[in-house]
Amino acid sequence: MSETNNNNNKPVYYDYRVRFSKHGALRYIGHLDVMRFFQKVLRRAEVDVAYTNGYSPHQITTFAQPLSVGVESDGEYMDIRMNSEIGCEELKNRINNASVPEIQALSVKRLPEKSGNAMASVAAAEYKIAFKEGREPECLKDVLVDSSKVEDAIKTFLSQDSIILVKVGKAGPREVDIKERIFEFSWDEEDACFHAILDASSGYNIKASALMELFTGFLKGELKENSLMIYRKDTYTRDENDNLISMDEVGTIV
Amino acid sequence: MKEFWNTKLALSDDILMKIEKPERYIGHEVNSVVKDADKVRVRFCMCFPDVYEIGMSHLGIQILYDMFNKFEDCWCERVYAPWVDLDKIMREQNIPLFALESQEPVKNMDFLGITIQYEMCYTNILQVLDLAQIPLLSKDRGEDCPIVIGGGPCTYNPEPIADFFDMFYIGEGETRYRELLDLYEKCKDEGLSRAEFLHKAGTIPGMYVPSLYDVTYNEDGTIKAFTPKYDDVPKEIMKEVVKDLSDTYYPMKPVVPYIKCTQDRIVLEIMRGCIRGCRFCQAGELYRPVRERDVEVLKRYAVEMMKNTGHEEISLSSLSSSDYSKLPELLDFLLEECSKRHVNITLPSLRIDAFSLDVMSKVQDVKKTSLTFAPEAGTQRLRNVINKGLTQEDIINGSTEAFLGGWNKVKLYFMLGHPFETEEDIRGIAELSNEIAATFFDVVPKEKRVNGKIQITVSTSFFVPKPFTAFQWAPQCTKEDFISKAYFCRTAITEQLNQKSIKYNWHDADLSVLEGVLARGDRRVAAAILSVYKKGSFFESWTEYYDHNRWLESFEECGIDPWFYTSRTRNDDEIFPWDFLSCGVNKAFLLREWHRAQKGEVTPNCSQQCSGCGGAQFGVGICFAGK
Ligand code: SF4
Repeated sequence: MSETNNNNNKPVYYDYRVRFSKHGALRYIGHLDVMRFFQKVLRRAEVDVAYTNGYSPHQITTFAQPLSVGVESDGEYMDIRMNSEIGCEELKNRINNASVPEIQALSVKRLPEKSGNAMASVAAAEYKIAFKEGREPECLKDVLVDSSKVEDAIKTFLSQDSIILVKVGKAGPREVDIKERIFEFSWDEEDACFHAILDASSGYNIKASALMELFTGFLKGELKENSLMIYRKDTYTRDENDNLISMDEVGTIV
Repeated sequence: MKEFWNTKLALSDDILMKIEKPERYIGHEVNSVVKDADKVRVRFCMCFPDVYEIGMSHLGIQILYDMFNKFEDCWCERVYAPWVDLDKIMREQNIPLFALESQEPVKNMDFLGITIQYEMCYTNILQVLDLAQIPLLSKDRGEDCPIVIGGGPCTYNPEPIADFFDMFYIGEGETRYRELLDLYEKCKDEGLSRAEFLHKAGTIPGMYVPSLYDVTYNEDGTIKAFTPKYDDVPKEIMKEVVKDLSDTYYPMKPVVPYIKCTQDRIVLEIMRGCIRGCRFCQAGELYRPVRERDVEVLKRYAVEMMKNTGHEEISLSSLSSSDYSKLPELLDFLLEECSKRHVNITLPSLRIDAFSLDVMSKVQDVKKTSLTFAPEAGTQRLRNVINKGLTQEDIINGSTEAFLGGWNKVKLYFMLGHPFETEEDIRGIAELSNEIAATFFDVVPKEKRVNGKIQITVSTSFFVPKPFTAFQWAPQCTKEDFISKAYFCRTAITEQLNQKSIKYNWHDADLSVLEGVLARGDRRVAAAILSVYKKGSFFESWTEYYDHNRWLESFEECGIDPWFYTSRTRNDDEIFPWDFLSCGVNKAFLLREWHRAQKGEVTPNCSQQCSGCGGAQFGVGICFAGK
């Protein structure tokens, strides 16, 4: 039962943010099914989630930017509204016991009262991107063997006046300049993969695969079919000074 | 970061990224069972030969999956029919069909168990065998092939598919599998051959091994004799029955799929069997006698399963839930427990009366749901013929109460083509529907009518006579008869005063004719099934993949006359292809029922009076209740 606040009789809620992973075989599960999965996880976990009213009540949860099928991640977020208070560690453990090894809660925070919901507050996402073995585009074959060559290629790519992405929406194709929305694009020498932080705010989301397509196109090449391995490392929001911070940094551990 | 991508799956990332709903093929579901393959003696693969979303919704497989995996020496996995997109790729790339849990080829298992729920999946059985790279015909299988075993309602006439199976399990699966696995392990230890194992298996009660029997035919094509080839093999095979439903296997931790399935909910089986004895209904005979599950046991199961699955919905399952003796108590409990847990209750189709309307109004939005009646026939005369104990009065009284309670949508189910049906009976469908609409306008004052309307949906299916029913002797209507009956029904509806409130749907006639051939076919029909599969047909329960002309061609090529199996009049003493099996209900009783049907005589249901059908021989259930 939700407690009621004596002043205005409004129910009191407690909002939590869960950072979770998605790995292995479960990278083939689509976003809608991940949402359905968590509904069942929360029921199995027997936690005091808040529900909407009506004949088919549903849990009050919101998810951050959907992850494309085939992408693995350690930076997914879900906000849950609870009727009663629960310790962050306790909530995390309950979720993990009710979940599967491929999808695990990595951390749980209690959100301050007036933080935007998970979906609305997303600002950016961080990716690691590599080519599957033998699937490098021809134009990058000679480049990828030498880190400094990759770095140079990235530098010239980013030094263009504009970087035009053609987005196909309901109203037909539309050209957008995403130059200012690539917050970072670099070569990670240690992991031998690309590293990118891209705008992921709703309406402006840039997929990691779209960036790689533009980059290869710039080098007069073409991506081979299903050639990328993509890993989302984290999702970001902005703090009061407009700096990017991990969505995980909002809220406190209770 | 490369380590993330190393996942042991049978299908490559390229394939999984290309096909529709890859979730169908990756396993890893909550509550699926993974065992150490080196620590078990028997690998059993359970198959529902249709697409994942349909197969995963089937309770029977969940029950057996749970049972097999409780056996320490056995690992049971699942497989479903790959959808057409993946089917094509697997054939092109020669990828063997694999079990979901281990992702290992099905052909390496000890058993492939296939549940057969409807005739239209017969070609999917061949698809599954073919993709698994197992020879389609039992006689072509070598020593290292899995034993292909069939179960489920269609095995009560297994003859049209007998060539494709090594054996069948007749009846309820909970009782004899342990014995069968023990025998299998023993035969393996002793180094016995496949044929030797099958011979021994054929002596376990409930097991039918087609290769152990010979069939001979009369000149007119009917069966002359059906005889075992060996003395130790039984002449008649009696179905297996669970004696105590409250003390047997039940999947407290059913597998929870990631994608939305047809049945995305907890299923609580409250009883087996049906007291009613409708003469067209096969399930009503096959599962006799009625046995209930204890209400306390059900309450415990319900809570346990809610905890283990996290499903947002629960539904009750049985052939006729209104007949469950403790229904009010069970529903009261569920209403309370479910509202605590925010779980919805889906009600099975209950008899419409004050009690059920009250419960329905508690769990559903009255304005959005429909009332469902299944009178099956349009007049009382024909309802007596088919022994359907639902009267016009029941329907009108039920509707009146419901309309007063705010309902304004009604669904009516009928069948066309019952034996002894006349135009009067078909017109009766239209008149009864009209009467229900008139009742609405009578009892609901204008100002209380939502949109001023009542919506009645009338659906008719075509009647297909099934084995082990009183109508197993009945000639089925031809396609032309079916279609003219449907037209007649449509015209009769348009002549009604309230025709604007009535919407009419009818089923496909071609499919019903084919279903008739497969339902009452014999071993010779197998050739046509094989031929139509080889022409490229499967997923035939999906209308877009059903090609009737291929069937006509195949029948022609195999010298099979569909009429012989469907519309021919059968003599009272004809030997049917399924007569060597018994579901406990005697043929003499069914024949008596067939004759009573001709005279329009009603037979009381099991709770009113026992009619001595033979079901009592199992020594349990309604036959002994209060006696
Ligand atoms: S023996 Fe009698 S009570 Fe038992 S199932 Fe048959 S008719 Fe019903």
